[in-house]
Amino acid sequence: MTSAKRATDDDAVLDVTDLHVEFDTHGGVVKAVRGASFSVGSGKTLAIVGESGCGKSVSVQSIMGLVPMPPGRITSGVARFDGVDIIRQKIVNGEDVRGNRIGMIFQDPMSALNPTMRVGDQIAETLQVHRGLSKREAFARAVEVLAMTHIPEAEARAKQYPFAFSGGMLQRAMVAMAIACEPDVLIADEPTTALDVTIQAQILNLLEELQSKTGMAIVLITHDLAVVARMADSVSVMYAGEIVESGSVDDVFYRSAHPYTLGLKAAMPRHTTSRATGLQPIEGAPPDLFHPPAGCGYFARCPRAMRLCESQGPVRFEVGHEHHAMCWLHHPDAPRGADDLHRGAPE
Amino acid sequence: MSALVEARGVTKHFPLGRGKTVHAVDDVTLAIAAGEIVGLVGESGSGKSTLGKTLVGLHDKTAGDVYLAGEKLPRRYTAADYRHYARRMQMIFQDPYSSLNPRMTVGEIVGEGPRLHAGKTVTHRDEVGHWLERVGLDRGHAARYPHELSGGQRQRVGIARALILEPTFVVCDEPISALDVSVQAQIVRLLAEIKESLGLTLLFIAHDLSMVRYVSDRMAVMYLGSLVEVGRADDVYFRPLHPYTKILVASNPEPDPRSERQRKTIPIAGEIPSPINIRPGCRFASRCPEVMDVCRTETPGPRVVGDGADKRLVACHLYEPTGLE
Repeated sequence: MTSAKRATDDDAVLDVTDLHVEFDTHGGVVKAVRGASFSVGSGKTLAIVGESGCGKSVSVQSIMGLVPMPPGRITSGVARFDGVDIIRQKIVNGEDVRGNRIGMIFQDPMSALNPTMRVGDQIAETLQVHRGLSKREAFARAVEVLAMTHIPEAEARAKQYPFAFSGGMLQRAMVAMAIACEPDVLIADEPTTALDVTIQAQILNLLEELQSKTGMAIVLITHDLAVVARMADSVSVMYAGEIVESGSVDDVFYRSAHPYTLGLKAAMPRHTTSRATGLQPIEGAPPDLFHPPAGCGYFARCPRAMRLCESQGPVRFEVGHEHHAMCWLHHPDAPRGADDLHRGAPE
Repeated sequence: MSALVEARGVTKHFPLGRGKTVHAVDDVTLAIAAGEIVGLVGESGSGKSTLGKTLVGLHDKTAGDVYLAGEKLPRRYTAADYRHYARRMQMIFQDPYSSLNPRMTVGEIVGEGPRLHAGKTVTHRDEVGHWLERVGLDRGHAARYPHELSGGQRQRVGIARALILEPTFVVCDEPISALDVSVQAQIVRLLAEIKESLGLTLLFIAHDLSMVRYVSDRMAVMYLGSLVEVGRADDVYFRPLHPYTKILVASNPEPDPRSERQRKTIPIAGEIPSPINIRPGCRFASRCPEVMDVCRTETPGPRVVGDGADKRLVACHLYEPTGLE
């Protein structure tokens, strides 16, 4: 594990600013992402953490062009990769970015791979498309990358179909496909959620090993704070379409500056949690994003909510070096409660 | 300590035809005391759910017996047996989406138990409303259909359905794994409250080790159809004895970056093997970092390790064989 340091804007390889994504549905317009900004530097891992429906997957899928439009729509925002906004321009320096310089792995490898194609051919396909390799060269390279992900007998495995692979092996195959073109950024969307804990450890180790070899940046989308603690250099906590707290992994875990982050931590058992101290559930449910609340998205569930929070959306406060929280409690005039909310140094 | 539920040598095989058999559960012996919560952990395919279903009679037993408060339960349930025992043993299922009939209202789902078992027709509506409130829903939810509810609300319906008959023993089969973190804690708290007030005995099946440690009094670890370690939850988690338990605990990340930086994961090669036509010897031998020759030929029976409060059953040749008890 490398030192926890958040990428600054200067060395960011992928830098997303003020992303807004909406969907037209029968029930109206869903504002799925409401102003997300995040960035990740080479060789670093950014974790975007949040619950189902918070917009974490949509954020990365939209910048990768994987959200069908319509019904989806990026209403504003910039995603800068290698100096170019990839929301508006898919070709950078003559190369397609998607699946090439930015690779992606998905939660459910069983449904992400084509069941009617041999695994090796599926990996080879990306190399034929992006690298212009011949079928034979591409297949040979596919076997190499399968071996890099520690699939035993890679040559024989490359000739098999996905049904012959176990869940862990399929996830390795998907990692192999994503890294075949040696991407600068790997986006991993819940890569271990469907896996058992021992297989999860294998896949996380593999991602770390590949990162230290290639220096790629990893954007890890997950709901699991334990996986975040295990992998991330920096963390963005997402709630109701907004990034409510961001900072280094140590800042977000040990100097949590948003009530939602504190709530998530208290809802998960740790080594030190006993039945006497207890788990503290976050009562209620996330807001309806058909009609996003006028004020703070967390207002209805927040134990520290003030009257202001209902009507007025909070602004982003800097609470430490590269550590931000969207919460009115950081306003100089806010009451200081006796909780463990981290506050920046007083003015 | 008198056992409320006792499994003795419970075995469940599924024949596949052509001489092949899935050894889903093999010779499991486990006693659960009245009022106790036993957590059952293991990887997918280890037989956790099959064991849970076999205990409550949803599967026939290939061999072995289950006792409820000293009474031997039938090896194969008849319709009358289900009616008789379902009042005392119930099950909460993993997937709150597929385990509720989409064509029944919440009131019909929760009220089905009292209707079938007590023949109540008039009074049970009140009882349903009472139980909906008890699990944190409104009486008004009775008229709704499952698709109108969130995952957490559906799981509450599943809990109300299982508990309305006031059973003594409930198998909770991964009751929280389909839910979001903040909702998981809500459901765990609800189960704990109801467990206390009804004096329930629970078998809590999950693959989330941290949650099982938190919820359970004792923890049982299952691998490929067999129990490999049983002991107090904290002891098994913090001082695992069986090589498989050690790997499982070492693989389980904690939401704590500092401890994660110091974590030494024990690499484990490969994946859980197929439970079809298992060879003799220890089932973990093919992946065990401490494997010995004897492990490949002789199946290790459970040994009693330690004494006093930290008394454990460990099925491993690394420990001196002892008789049970």
